[in-house]
Amino acid sequence: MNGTIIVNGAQIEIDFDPADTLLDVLRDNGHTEVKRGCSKGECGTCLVLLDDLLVNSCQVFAATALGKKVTTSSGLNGDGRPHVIHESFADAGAVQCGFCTPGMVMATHSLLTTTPDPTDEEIRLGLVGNLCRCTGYVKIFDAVKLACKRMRKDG
Amino acid sequence: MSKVTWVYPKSVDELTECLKNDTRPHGGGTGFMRNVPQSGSLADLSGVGIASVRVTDGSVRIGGAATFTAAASAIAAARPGHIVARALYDAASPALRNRITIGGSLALFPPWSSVVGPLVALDAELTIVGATTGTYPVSEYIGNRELGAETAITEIRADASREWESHWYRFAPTHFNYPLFTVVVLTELDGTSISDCRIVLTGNRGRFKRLEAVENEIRGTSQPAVEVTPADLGAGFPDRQGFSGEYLTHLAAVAITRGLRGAERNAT
Repeated sequence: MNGTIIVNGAQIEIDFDPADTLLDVLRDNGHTEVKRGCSKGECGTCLVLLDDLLVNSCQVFAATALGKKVTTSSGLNGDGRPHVIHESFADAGAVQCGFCTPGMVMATHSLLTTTPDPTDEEIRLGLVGNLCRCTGYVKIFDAVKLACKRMRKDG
Repeated sequence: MSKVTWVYPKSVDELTECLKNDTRPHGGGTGFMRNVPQSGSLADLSGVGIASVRVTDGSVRIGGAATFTAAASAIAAARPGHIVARALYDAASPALRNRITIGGSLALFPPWSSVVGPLVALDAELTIVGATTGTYPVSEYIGNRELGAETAITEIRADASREWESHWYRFAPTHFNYPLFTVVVLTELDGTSISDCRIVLTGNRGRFKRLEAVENEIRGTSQPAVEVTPADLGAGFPDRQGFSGEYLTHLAAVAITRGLRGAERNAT
């Protein structure tokens, strides 16, 4: 099959197997910031925005994403520079091995978009689909709070 | 290379035609990912126009291709605390809820489905198109797998005209784990007396069970002192990883008893 998807604002032509996932297609086209973890929708390392909705790209057939807008962690800011959420993760020391970080950043972005001032419980529920195998959840939690504070300040 | 072919119907009529040709409906896709098809045809439901959610005083109408997030947010906005919205928000993760559809969850009834108990308790109906086009109670559809063969769910309707007090309980080892069972208790009060009651358990050996004998015992009483026992749960539970069937059966009986005593109730 073939078609187009718009990844981080750039339209790309894709040629793929009918059973390929969006994750397969993104990584085959150089978007290795989208990580392949469990491939079961359980670890959250492959999270992207599909038409502005957070999805596990391993759970989306590429054939159903044709013509749609995909945003990866690298495209959050639109200009290639780190987003305030990236900076918050770095400043809070929430990046250990870093494998889960792109997914954590995407889940945080989605959470703060819908819930700009989340409670502790809302943060936990917002990140419930993301696993950190370094078990660095305390720092990740701190990073979400820091990003929340900075995004409120920046309006 | 897989031999799967994709079709993109643009109306219910086109979808119905597709289903005649051994095509399986694809809502969010999560149900296919554990066993990705390598042949046959899949119909992407996103263009069919069956993803809307409408909530009125009288009913909740959910398109078969509506996602858990879309349904939960629309229902919660119109009816805060509604048991269907609470159950949907409890399922899986935010990202998965953006893909899992109500129709898919009923058609496949995967372990993570949290919507069956509330819909059965509310006597919800669904409309399917295809080999057995028609409208059926959700309980009949879930209980008879042949009914759903070569069909797609286009709409689910639940009555919303009655003022139930509701109890929702989901037992899972951690929040993100699949629930090992769910409990729904609905009670309708007439003054201090319980005029109607619905109790539904899912995850047991029969997949779901409505506890009609306990419901009959409670109707007409005031705050029930009924203690549900494992014997009330019929065939009970199979053994699951980390939990014996006997333990789960006892736990479910306690969860239902607590629900009847009014813990954590919300208006539905």
